[in-house]
Amino acid sequence: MGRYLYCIAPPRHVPPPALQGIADAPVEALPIAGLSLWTSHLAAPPSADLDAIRRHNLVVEAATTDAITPLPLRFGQWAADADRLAAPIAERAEDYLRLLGDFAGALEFGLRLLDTGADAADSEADGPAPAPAPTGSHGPAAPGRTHLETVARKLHRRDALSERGEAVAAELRRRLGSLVRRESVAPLPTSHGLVSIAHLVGRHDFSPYRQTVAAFRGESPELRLLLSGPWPPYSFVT
Amino acid sequence: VTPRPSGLDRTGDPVDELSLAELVNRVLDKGVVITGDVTISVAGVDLVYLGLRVMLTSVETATNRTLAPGSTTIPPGSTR
Repeated sequence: MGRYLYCIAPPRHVPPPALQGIADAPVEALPIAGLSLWTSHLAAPPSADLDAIRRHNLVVEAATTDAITPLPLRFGQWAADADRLAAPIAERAEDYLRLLGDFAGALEFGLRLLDTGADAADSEADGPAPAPAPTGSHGPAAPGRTHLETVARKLHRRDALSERGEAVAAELRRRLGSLVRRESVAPLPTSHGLVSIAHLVGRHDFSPYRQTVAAFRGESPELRLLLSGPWPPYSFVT
Repeated sequence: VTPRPSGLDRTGDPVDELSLAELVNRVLDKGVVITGDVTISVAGVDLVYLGLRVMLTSVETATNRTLAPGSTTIPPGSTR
């Protein structure tokens, strides 16, 4: 029977006996290359429904303690048998052990920065082009040209939002200072989005981290700043 | 399934409504991928989302809806 893999844990860190994962399958440790893999026997890869996704994450969270932060697997990691997991895990075992050491006692927070003024800007970008300047014999702007001008305005605005997002992220990072162990910043390619940020934060710093983010939010009324977490460090093992 | 460890307790978070969308984003799109032929990953997120009709909305849209006055849920089938 196949094996489904939830997370990679340090040696001898094993699931509690009653822990159930996807499809109520028992979760058991599979020792490979000095690591403890938390797995379930599944006949086939699970379908990506919400229950399975929740179960996957709950197993990862069950492996999390004050001192241990497991490496979460992406949903869907399944192999036909345990032997087929051994080679790729062993190949990167040193990297995984190093990451387990780096992440111990820390978890991930997610931040999404949205531009609250984007609605008006969207309307402007989607609306008709400005009245064309007199063009002599050329007449009014053709529909194709109007469309291209609208597209150009949207692209320009997208670039401006991205640059602004990076600047805000840098300022927030400066404020947070040593509260953040690691950072991952990615564009948030939606009409309102500026940037998506993940921070790896030590457990002892959760409270000051939240306070600093709240203060930054209070000083930035033009932004919507959405904080979620703590999460297993999905964003730092991708 | 055992209860969530205390260090991961998100109860009371003022933006806890976001948790489901944030969870799906993370679990489907991030995390360790075991390379090689053992991997049967959910490679095309768009395809996955087709099977997750409740999640056919972005975090941003979900937030706008859930944080709107008088609204506490994401309408099923919402799309962008």
